[in-house]
Amino acid sequence: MQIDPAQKDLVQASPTQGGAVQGGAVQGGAVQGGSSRYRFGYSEDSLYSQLMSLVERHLTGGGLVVDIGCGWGAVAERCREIGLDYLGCDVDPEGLVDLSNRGFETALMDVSDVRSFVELLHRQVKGRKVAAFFLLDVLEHLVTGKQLLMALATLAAAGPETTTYHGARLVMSVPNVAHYELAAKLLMGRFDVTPSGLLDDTHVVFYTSRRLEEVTRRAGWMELARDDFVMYESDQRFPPEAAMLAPSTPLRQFLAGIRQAADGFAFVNQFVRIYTPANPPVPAAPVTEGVGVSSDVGGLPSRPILDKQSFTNQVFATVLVRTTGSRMGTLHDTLLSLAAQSYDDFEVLVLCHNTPAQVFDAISNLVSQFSPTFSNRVKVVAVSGGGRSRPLNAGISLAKGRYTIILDDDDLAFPGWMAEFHRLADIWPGMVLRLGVAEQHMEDQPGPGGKLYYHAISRPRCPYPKKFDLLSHLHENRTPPCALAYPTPFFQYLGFRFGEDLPVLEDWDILVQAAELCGVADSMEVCTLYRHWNGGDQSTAIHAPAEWMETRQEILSRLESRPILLPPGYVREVHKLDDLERICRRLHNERTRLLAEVAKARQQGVGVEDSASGNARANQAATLASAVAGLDTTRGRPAGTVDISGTTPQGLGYASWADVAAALAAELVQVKSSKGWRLTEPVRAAGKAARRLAALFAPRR
Amino acid sequence: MQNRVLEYYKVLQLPSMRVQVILYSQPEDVVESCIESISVSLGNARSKRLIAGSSIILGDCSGSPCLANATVERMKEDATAAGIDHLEYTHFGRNLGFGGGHNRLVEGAHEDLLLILNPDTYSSPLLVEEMVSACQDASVGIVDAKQLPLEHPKSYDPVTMDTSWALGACMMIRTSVMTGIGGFDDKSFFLYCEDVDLSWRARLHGWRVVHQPHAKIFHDKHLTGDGMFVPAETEPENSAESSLVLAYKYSRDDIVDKMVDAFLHSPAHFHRKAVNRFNQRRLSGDLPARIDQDHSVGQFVGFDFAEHNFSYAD
Repeated sequence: MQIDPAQKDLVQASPTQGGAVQGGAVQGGAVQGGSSRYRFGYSEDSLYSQLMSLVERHLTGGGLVVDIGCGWGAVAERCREIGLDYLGCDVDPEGLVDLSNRGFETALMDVSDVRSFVELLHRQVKGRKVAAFFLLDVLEHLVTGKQLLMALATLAAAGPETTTYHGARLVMSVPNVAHYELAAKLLMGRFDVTPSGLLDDTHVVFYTSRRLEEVTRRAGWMELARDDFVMYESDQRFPPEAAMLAPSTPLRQFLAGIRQAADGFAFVNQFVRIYTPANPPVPAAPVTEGVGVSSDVGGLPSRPILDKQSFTNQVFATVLVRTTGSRMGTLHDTLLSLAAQSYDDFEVLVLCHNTPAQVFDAISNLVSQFSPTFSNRVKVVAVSGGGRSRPLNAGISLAKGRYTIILDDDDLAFPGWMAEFHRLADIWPGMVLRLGVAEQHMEDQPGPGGKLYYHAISRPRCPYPKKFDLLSHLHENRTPPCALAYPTPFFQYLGFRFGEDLPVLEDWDILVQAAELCGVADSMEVCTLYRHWNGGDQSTAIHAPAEWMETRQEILSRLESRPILLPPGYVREVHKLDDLERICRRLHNERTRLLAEVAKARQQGVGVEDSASGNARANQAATLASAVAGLDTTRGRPAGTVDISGTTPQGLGYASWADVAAALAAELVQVKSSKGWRLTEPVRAAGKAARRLAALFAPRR
Repeated sequence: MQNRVLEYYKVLQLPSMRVQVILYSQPEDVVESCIESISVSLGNARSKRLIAGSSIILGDCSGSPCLANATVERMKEDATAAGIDHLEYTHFGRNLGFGGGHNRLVEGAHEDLLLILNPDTYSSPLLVEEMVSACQDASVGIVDAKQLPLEHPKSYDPVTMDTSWALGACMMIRTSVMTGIGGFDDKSFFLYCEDVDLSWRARLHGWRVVHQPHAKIFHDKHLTGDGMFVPAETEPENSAESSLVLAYKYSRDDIVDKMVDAFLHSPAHFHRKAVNRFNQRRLSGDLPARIDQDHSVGQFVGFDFAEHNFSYAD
């Protein structure tokens, strides 16, 4: 459930403390200041109603609810309504008296001593069937929270002969210390403790989703269901005019986007979850705060849990080799090029996407025949379902390298490829690393015995820009994946993944996002070979041009929907964009003038062919027609270009100018190189503008 | 004919194999990587019962040894562990050249098949079995492998796999063919074109030279920022002179004249130097005897020795 930011009253109706529970840091009775501050009522569209809906779905067999730290027992009546008996336990008698007056069973209990609490619980329950333990905004008040969870899990995991607690559920709501607005306050140097809310002054332990998952798992609970309570406007939004907090500022949009991408819990105010005792108990895993993300990708294995030690022991890189197994020969080439690397501190994940078992076995067999110094660093992973991005995301989840590199099963790495990445990483840690790349055209050749042969049919060429430029990459992708190494935390910590909804261009989509946040460090060394297949099964042949165009538009729309972070030195580039608008208007006017002149010349050319001036005009008309035809060729161009025909300057937004200018520049360069251009004076006027454009698009120094 | 019958007989048995590598000032780790990968490939072929015994012989043309004694000992241990029968390292004490070094090493070779291998290569684990597979055709005298990441542009017949010549960076040749045709012509060729010459002489003796595209080696090569191939430092000058000698040896005066004319008009100093040295050798009678008078095997396409699928010079 997500709360509209306008529902501000819910801030008040959403407690992050349900009762006064005596814990290690709040010894000696009720919380200072009196527990009445936690007297929250039950209402629809609140945390409590959302939580009780979840309870209603998952507690259907009746029984007793033990509401530990119940306060005034805001959910007591609702429990009764759905057929659950209710026992309110708290160390503060004030709320218990109120509950008792409302006709509910209560018990004065102190959970700071877990053993005593359990003994008291036995006496109070008296053999009745316990359906669930409720800990609603309680855990964060307890330094003994883990012990309490373990004790409850032990009770609930007891065999069926112990009918009282067997199979009891755990229902919790826990405030999210990683709510975006708390993160924003920290960025302002603020840690604003309040009488209640996300930073209640009695909170002694703080939970992120990840930490809660680990603590409950270690205590012996397995999550059954969740319906986290979302609040875009938390109680921490003050002052509301602060740029980091105000909902419409670019700063908030940018930072909140980063925070949300990291684990998806940016606006969860309270984690609302139901657990069942783990059987068998889940093996304990180290509790590591703030490391990684836990969300799985469509049923794929979750990423490994890392602690600081395992992080420092990571290999330099993980190479993701994506294959469908349809090109065993080129996969062999790719693996050979990896085995031959001069720097070998890397692992390889061969991601077999939707491959039949027989092919998977053949790939595994191929890997096993390499030298153990290489094959021991290679894992062959089966990935099923999804599109082109699915295997990449599966690999990202498993990656143990500090950098993640994609080398598809028809790409080749030169022997110094990994060493050059490593050299760059030493100089520019944390940046996207980009090497020189050559491309080569290949051709399949059916051979004897049904075996497929292939060979190069062109020399390698380097058509890609030597230096990365973010603005030009916002226009189209100009870097093949095999030339890039991404810092793995970009995926595993910031939560970015290849778009599984994108049929193509998933590499471009992720590159612009990574380049924006991490920056790009270039090397001029040509270290990899990107192979193009003539008529083969490369993505350009499989996917229709319309699909490329639509996907490109989708990616551009996403880019348009959020603020963009530009690296230092781009102010001048933005100034150039400003100039572009003027230039584009001039180009557009020139185009209009040329069209009119062509039409006029065509009319006047008839009947005046005998005169020298008539011939000149006719020739001019022909060349102008050619020039304009050139300008009109933007229709139906492949992905990476834009259609400027029919557009008018007035109809364009500012962000479109770069596209239009680039397209016009490209067209004018084409015209400029034509015979018509060289002969035609009127077009040269536009050429001046093109030269200015060329200067604007020149690589930054 | 007797040799051919012998080869037909041998295919019924598992062949033994000798790998020969000539070193010249390579770093130890490069050599070790080369030997490790070819050892694995030999081991795989042997475990699949495609070859019998195998040995690796290293000849060092460097001024001082490339490999320390401890390194050699370690390589021997590793080779033994990989199932190689014998690894031997010899420092020649002088630079015999590529062909001269291999000729020296092949003396007394008793293995059936010889794999000529460059030290700056990394072999596919399937290299040996794929090359041996091609040699199961008794008419095949020499097989060469596909080089990666930069393929050699010379073409091959897509059906028979016949090719004009075999690359010396990784070629398998029957030992009987090698010795039968007198090995590399190291007197005529110091560096480059000796593999072309060996291939053509084998073909003159009736043997086929084939390309095996499934046999792969990774050969350390570099590209400039514009994607142009960066040849080894010694290549331009030596290959220019060797090309002239090759055209001369294969009785192609027309090609010699064209090359001389082109080289003399070349802005590159080494081209003119190559012509000078060639002319000096011609005057001093230091050029090889002329063969292939009827041009049955020598194939000159421009200044290449085979049809090429593309050119690195475009």
